[in-house]
Amino acid sequence: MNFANPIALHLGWLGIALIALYLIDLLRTKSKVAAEPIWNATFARQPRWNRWRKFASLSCHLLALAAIVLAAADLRWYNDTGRPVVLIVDISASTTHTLSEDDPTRFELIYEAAWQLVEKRPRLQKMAILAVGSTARWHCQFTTNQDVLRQAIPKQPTYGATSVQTAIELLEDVRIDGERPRIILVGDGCYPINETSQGKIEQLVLGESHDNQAITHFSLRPVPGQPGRQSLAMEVVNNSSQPVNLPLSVISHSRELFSREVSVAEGTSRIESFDVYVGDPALLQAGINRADSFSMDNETRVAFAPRQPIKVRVIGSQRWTDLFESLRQYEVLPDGSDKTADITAVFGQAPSPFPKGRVLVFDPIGTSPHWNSVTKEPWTPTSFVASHGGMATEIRLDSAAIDDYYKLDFVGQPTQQILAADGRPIVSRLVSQLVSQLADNVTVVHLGIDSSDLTKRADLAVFIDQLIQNIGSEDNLPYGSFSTADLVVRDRDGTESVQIFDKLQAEPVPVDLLSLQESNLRQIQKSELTVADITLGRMMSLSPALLLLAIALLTFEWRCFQRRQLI
Amino acid sequence: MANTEPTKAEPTSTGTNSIWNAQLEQQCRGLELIATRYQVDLLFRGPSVTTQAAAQTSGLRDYAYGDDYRYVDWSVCARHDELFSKQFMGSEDRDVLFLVDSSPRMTREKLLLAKQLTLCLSRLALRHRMRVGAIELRGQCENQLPPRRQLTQWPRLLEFVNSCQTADQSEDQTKAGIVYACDSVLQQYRPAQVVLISDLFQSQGYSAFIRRMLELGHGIQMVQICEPQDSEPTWLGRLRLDSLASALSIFGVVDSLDLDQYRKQFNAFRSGCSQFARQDSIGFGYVSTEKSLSENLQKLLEMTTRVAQHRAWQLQGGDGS
Repeated sequence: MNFANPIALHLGWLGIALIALYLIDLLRTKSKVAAEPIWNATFARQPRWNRWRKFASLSCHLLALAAIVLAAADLRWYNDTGRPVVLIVDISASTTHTLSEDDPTRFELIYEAAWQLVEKRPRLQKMAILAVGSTARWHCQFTTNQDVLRQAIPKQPTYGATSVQTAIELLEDVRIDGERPRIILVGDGCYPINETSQGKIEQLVLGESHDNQAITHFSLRPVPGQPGRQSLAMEVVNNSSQPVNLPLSVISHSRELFSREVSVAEGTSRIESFDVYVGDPALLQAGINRADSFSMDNETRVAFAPRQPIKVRVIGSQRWTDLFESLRQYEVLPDGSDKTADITAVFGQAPSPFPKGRVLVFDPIGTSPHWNSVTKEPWTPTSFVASHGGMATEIRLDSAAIDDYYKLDFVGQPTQQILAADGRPIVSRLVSQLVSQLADNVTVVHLGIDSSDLTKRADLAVFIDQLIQNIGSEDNLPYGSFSTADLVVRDRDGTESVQIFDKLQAEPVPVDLLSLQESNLRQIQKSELTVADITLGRMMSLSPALLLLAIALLTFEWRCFQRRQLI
Repeated sequence: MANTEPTKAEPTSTGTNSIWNAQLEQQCRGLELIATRYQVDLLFRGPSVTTQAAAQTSGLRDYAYGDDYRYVDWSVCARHDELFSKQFMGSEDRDVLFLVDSSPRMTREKLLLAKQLTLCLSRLALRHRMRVGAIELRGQCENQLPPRRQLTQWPRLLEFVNSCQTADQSEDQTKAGIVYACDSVLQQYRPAQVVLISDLFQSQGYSAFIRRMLELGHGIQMVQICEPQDSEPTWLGRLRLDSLASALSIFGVVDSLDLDQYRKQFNAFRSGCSQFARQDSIGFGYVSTEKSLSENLQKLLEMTTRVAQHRAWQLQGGDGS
């Protein structure tokens, strides 16, 4: 039992006034009468319970007042058969900050909110607790045991950004008695959630203030062909009501590798991408360090392992083997090797069915199972942009074209024909650049089978994604596409084809390379949810019943005591 | 019939504490003017069948000891060889006796009105050359003024009225007390026209008392005096009602419906009194302290005149409807 509007309970003081009015009314009037026989006859006709009439009337009025007060206070009753709940507790690094030393940190606010949610839940409701930092980890499976739940609430924040998407994927198939649990995320609002996931969870955002900024994503990818260089992508969120300039810095082994001040508008997020030179292996630490009393306002860390060369199995002519071996990032596997290859290149002798110089792009979205298994959506360009550095190195695309291209990706309209500054379709220009860069060996790039629609930049995006995945690392990549790409390469004696079987996986890194202006377009979804909304939302409101009771009591009192029918 | 011409000796007030004052005197003069429109003499003269001389002979009856020989019908006696006395129909002069109730129930306002009514009506009766007396209904009715006709009675009346005070609760008259006292007192007087001025709230009732007076041959006029709180009480809530006549108290909770019920009871009581009076051809009037004396007197005159006419008509053979 709880009250949604407890301040209305003060209306109960009216009861004192009501009692006072009754007492005034009940003050005995003393008078002398001559016609006492008539008064005796009058009183003799009153019913026996008449002496209690005023008290009964007062009781009715007090009960009615109590019912009205409880209704105004919105008395609610627990529904003990509530839906199971998964409580996702944000323990990311962004929760450690506070405005001043006297104020509680955001994590303390989150801890308090989680405690309240555990305490105020219906006693028979099953609840599980999932802590989300750099990874998502179960702290408590579904249970109704209050002590277990209390102990399972995370006590300390961790380093790293909030892996909300990982948590949502983890809960995708969770069912309790065939019922999908209710997912409640308690955090500081500094985490990336795509639109699909937003409909699946309820967010309880705490600690929204002018200093509520955080790094919500920090990832890196080695630059192909340039050992020691890493392409970094950082997403910065400003979950406050005013724009800020955030001093970003990247530190490795106590040495500052990079620093930049980033302007982020209020309620938005921004992606920053840059290349840094670090040794292999390294522990990178990215942070926001404002000029205040705190050594680091927000920080997140990522470690990377030594880079392994890409394994290529070449089937066919020896000169193709020599070609791959000349590229240092490939480890050429001999045919018949028991090692698993990242790329299998098959050199055939068949003539190209396409005229020289023609570029066709296969549309894997429609013909292959190239889907995100979590969101059930096709890959969007935002899923590969973190690999920009590797791709640029591979085919030497100029950065301006890439920027324009990825701007379009971020807007999220994958099938729209976008023109570059010179008026040419961007996709066509990219392909032209691709062909020109590979002109020494490649005359035709054939991807897929039968699609020739070059206007679909999403198609090209997937192609580039596949290429990147063939070149990149396979570490921590949970998804696979198993699509096929064919390269038709001109040979001195004729035309030969290189067939590349893509069996690596794509990493859905939600990072974009965006300009400042475009970045600020990305609004953070606001949540007005409160602990009371969550706890009271599942409770049955007794206000209508109480109001009906009050009306019934007043009606009863009026009929019995105000309109008393004398017999 | 009495002479209504003004007398030479005007009654005057007898002192500063007297209830009789210039205003009351003025009202009384107004009453005399009003009274000319009514058959006021009927108020004080009961129409009756009597052996006294009158204008109209109504019949004969056997001679009884004490009958005046002048009214023996000698011709009939000669025919029947017995003595017969003539009977006459008409009004006869009667003494007027005011019974002023000063029981504890009579509050100051009610007793004041009773005194004023007594003075006004007695002045009117004296103007009509009647013998006027008064008895205070209190204790053993020691305070009494024997009827006299002369205007010299007026100062005595004023003195009597001034001496009337509300009795204590210990002196309250029970039914037996009033009957006994009045029986003993009224037996001293010849049949008179008795004007009873009271609130009639005697718990034992006045019926026995009135019937006893009728047995004694007195004519009765009842004047009920009530206060607004008697007829239209406005108390609500929890009440403690102390009886004026006794040490008893009534406790109860009263709302508007109870007040309605009280009014019904009160009206029923008044109707009962009226019906009782009508059965015995008794005049019954109702006056209220909330009205002016003039209004009360005029209303009383209208009522008593109407009743007197009705009584006279009954005696002449009407069916009483």
